[in-house]
Amino acid sequence: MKPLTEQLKTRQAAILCIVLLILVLSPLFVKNDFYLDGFILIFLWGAFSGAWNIISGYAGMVSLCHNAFFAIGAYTSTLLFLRLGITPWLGMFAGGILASAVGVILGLVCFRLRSHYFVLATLAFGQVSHIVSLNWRSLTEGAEGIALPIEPNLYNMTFAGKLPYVYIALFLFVAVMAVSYVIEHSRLGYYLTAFRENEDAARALGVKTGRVRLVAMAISCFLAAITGSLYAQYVVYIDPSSVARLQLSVQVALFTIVGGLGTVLGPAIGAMIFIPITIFLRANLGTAVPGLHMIIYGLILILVLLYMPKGIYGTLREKIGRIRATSKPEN
Amino acid sequence: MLAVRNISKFFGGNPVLQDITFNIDKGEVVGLIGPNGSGKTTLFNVITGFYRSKTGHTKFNDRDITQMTPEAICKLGVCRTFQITKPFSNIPVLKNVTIGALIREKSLRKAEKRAEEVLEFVGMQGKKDVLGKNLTIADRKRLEIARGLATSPKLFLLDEVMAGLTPIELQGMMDLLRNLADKGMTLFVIEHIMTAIMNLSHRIIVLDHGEIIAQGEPEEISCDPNCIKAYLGEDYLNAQDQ
Amino acid sequence: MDATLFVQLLIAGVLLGGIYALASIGLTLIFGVMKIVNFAHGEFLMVAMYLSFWLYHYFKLDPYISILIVVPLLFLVGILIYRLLIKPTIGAPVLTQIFVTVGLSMVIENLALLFWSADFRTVSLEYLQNAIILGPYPSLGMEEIIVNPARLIAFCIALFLAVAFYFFLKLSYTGKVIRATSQDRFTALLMGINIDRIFKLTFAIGIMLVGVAGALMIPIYTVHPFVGFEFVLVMFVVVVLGGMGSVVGATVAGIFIGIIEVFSGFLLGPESKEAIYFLVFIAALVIKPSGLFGLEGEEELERIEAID
Repeated sequence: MKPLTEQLKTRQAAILCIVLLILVLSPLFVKNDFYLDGFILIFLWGAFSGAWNIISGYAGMVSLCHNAFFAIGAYTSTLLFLRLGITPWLGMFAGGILASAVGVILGLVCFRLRSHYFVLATLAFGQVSHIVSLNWRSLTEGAEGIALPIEPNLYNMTFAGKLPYVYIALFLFVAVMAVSYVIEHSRLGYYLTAFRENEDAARALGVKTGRVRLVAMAISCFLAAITGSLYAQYVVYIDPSSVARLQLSVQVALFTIVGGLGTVLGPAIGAMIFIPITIFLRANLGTAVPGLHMIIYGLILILVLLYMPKGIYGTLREKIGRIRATSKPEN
Repeated sequence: MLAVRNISKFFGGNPVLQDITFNIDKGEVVGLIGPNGSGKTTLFNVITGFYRSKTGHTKFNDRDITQMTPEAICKLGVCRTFQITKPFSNIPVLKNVTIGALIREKSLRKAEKRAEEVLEFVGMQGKKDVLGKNLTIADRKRLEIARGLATSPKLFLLDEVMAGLTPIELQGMMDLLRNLADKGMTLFVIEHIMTAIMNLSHRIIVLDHGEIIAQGEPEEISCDPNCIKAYLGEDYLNAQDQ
Repeated sequence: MDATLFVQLLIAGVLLGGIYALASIGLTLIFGVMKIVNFAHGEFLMVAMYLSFWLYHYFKLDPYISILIVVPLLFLVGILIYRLLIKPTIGAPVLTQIFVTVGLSMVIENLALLFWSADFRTVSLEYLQNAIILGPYPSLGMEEIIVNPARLIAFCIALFLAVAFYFFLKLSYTGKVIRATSQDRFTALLMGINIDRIFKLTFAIGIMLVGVAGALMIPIYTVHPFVGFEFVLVMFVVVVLGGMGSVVGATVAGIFIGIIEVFSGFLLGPESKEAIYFLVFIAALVIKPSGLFGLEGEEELERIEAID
């Protein structure tokens, strides 16, 4: 039995390397900007979903306010650059730290609430964030939005072609998954699982359920903000409707749930399913059939929740686990 | 080791625990018995920090734990099981116990190793990959104990670990508990199965309607008229006298 | 602020709040009985508004009369949605329940967008064009007070229905069964209550009530596919503030929120009025999450049950 699991582990590692290699090399062969844009969106949304997954999936505290942290990232790095000339490479970390701080405060106040109430609290906070971004005009320019100057150079984190963005987004995408993997296989991850499974039992075993969730929240908000900063750098124009809308939170929730909540690959798979669908629909139907992609999203979400609640990857993993367990020789 | 003084607990206006005072010394096996609704699990909840007592205090090894959180109390060395078992359903047994071990081991690998040792001790090493939700009742009870043991407790509070077991399983559980007691662990055990608890305990505390009505060695307790009255009613007591 | 203005705003707030209350009673009922947070609740409001609109547009049917059509229709819709989507999620994890209704709201909103376009629609009734004027009351130092007739009608009907529903719950057999189920589902089951039927009824009633609110609102508000989303947030605030499951709570909280919204809209400007009641909401969740009339402690994570 032992050699088999070790075989599986080396096989898994090999598959991982091959996939990574493909991911890293394939953008080089794509000449069409349209597809490169698709890659970037998949990686950015995959990263954002992965960040959401850390608090909502691993820690089990479903958040509908991640749009707030995305916006904090986008606005912080942009404003620091425009007003103080600080490079977005640093600005995004500032945004990340700010978002973490806000998230931790929110957690301190709201983590004691039961699931429904917590979701509603985050919903309210998310909506307030949108309103604030619209009305705090002196900071955010309100609905007019902020445009970044297009002077391509490394310091500005602005590039002429799409390829550098692809690789930065890819790096973030892989980084978020790596962080998820590390969390899942670490003490923090075990403790988060314990909390999710049964809070009382976890506390009776010494798990500091409050503290571990705050840590997860800080990480999740940090990564969400970084994704926001990156997004701002790519689209070079941000406004409340593109970075602070509540629907952003719903979207990452959708991607992650369909892909597989609480798994490393789930959010990535969700993004890889939905982004192409959106792009395809927009390309072929344009504005002729408005809202169609959202109808499809909604139906997929409902169907997955009713018939495959663990998500595509989650269900797959369970099935494979069951096959493995039944084919193992008895002790 | 454990000093409980004047603990009381009210639910609404209802007194569930009144003026509870007792000690538990190191190495003792103390049984806690009493009719249904007498407040035994509530007492466990207060001692381990899940409920707050309005009055009095609890001290563990001279450290005041009255206001502490359950996590902190576990860290000090007081662990408890739950009457209605609370396994981590969607993860395997080994991971369940590893979570317990993580309180003492920083490294995941070492914690897992400790977990395997504990599973071996309770006799569940064969089931280490079974998901929590797929365990039988007897195994769930064992898992509760294994998880608690992994935290290396100094005082172990067991809440009706024998309920719902078949005679064979019961014997196994008794052997396990005796094993623990022989190894010097201090146990505080809630139990309904009289033969088991009388055999196992050095001392018994009897609770009725939230008050301690008797404390002493098992033989004394079984003859104590208050206890008989509490369990079987006054008529039986009167019948006995006649 | 002089007396006239104050009373003017107060009346406007109360009238607004009555509508919020009626829309929210269904939501709080669904949560109280089934423990399900229906994120799609606002969408049914929107659908009812559109229904009234199209009935008026094509058949010149007065919206207040169309209530007679909207009520049974939405009741049936509620039953249908319950059977298809809600029933399978009873007992499923909270996340599943929440996001099924989120998915439903996405579908309904965008179907409306698809079929009816994003254009704003309104119903403008002639007999409601003249404002009702109260006063002046020089002895109280007040000048004329203007009341919007459509809002007044909506408020009166809403209040009537809320009170009627309250007595239905309190006095009728079905009402008692509903309340029993909401208090202790398991015991109700033991008492021979068909939980599935009660859930179905409750959900359908909830949808029906918000449908009535919609019909009452179309003479006042414009409807567009995303109006449901705008209102559902207020409804959540009302429900939490009033205490999930409490009809009285939803009514009182609804009126309270209406007053807050009108006053803060006047004092701080229309953009900030939303922010205020969300902050009230978060404050409520922090201070007394179970709401004004809710049961203490039901909002916290579950505690151990002591059998002994």
